[in-house]
Amino acid sequence: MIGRKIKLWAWGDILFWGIILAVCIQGDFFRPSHDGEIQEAIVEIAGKEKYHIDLKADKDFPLTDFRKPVVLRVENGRVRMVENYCPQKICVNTVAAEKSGDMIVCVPQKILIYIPKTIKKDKTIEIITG
Amino acid sequence: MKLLPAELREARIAGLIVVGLLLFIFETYIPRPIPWLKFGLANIATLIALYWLGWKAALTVAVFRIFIGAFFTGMLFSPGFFLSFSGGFSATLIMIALFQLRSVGLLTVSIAGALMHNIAQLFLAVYWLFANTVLWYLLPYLLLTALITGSITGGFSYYLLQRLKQHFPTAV
Repeated sequence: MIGRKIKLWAWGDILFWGIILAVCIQGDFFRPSHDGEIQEAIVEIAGKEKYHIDLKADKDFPLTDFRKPVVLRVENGRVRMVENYCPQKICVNTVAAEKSGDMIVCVPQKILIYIPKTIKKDKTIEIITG
Repeated sequence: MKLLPAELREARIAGLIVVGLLLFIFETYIPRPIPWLKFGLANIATLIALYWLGWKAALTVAVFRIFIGAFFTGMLFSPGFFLSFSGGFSATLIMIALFQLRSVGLLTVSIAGALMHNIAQLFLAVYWLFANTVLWYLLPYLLLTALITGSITGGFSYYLLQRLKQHFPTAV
């Protein structure tokens, strides 16, 4: 060993753990509010917005940007990846996105599917007429 | 054959790289409760190198493990490799920095490594790979998983270091 006693815990740990737990507990602070009805999911490929998917109609959406099949499925107002040829299939095994801030990410294909923040219509009017 | 201290040290570093690689490959076969959750078992090799052989050994083990691991899994220089490298490298740097502080225990060093790994990967994903700040919403979940996975790898590392101490009580 390099000449020091190995400690599993130490007093300095408490401060560090406290900060991290506080950030985790405040998790919802980072999440967009869910004020209005969810209507669409946005699909981005390599940082470019490509498709807006209507979540009200149950349907399969093949993404035609790839040389092999990549398919999204909309079911009961939720969207999920059902087919992809990426090696680990993490995106296919990710739970369906249904609320604001939910997302499905595929790193090898650079696909990002997310549900944007929604705002109630009457709230928007209030702001406009303000 | 009796090895010189420098050769012994190199052999131990090479051994830890192999251990890291085996853990990295083993982890791909473990069923995950959440698809994107990784336990980061390979970090055990880096932590052991840090506490057993020092910071240079830890950095060597981390960098070689990431490159060789990516080579064998066919991910070398793919987007996933850059995420893995940024995460692994920055995690090792923060663990080295915290290791220097006497008032911080091994468990926190391990958790800080896991946290830094996730934060660095997310930073790269937000500003380079996907160029979308919506990904920051994942931060609290990644921090929480890092607390859990960092505790697991820290606990394992502590146990293994105690066993190593019994077999190799002297410094190299």
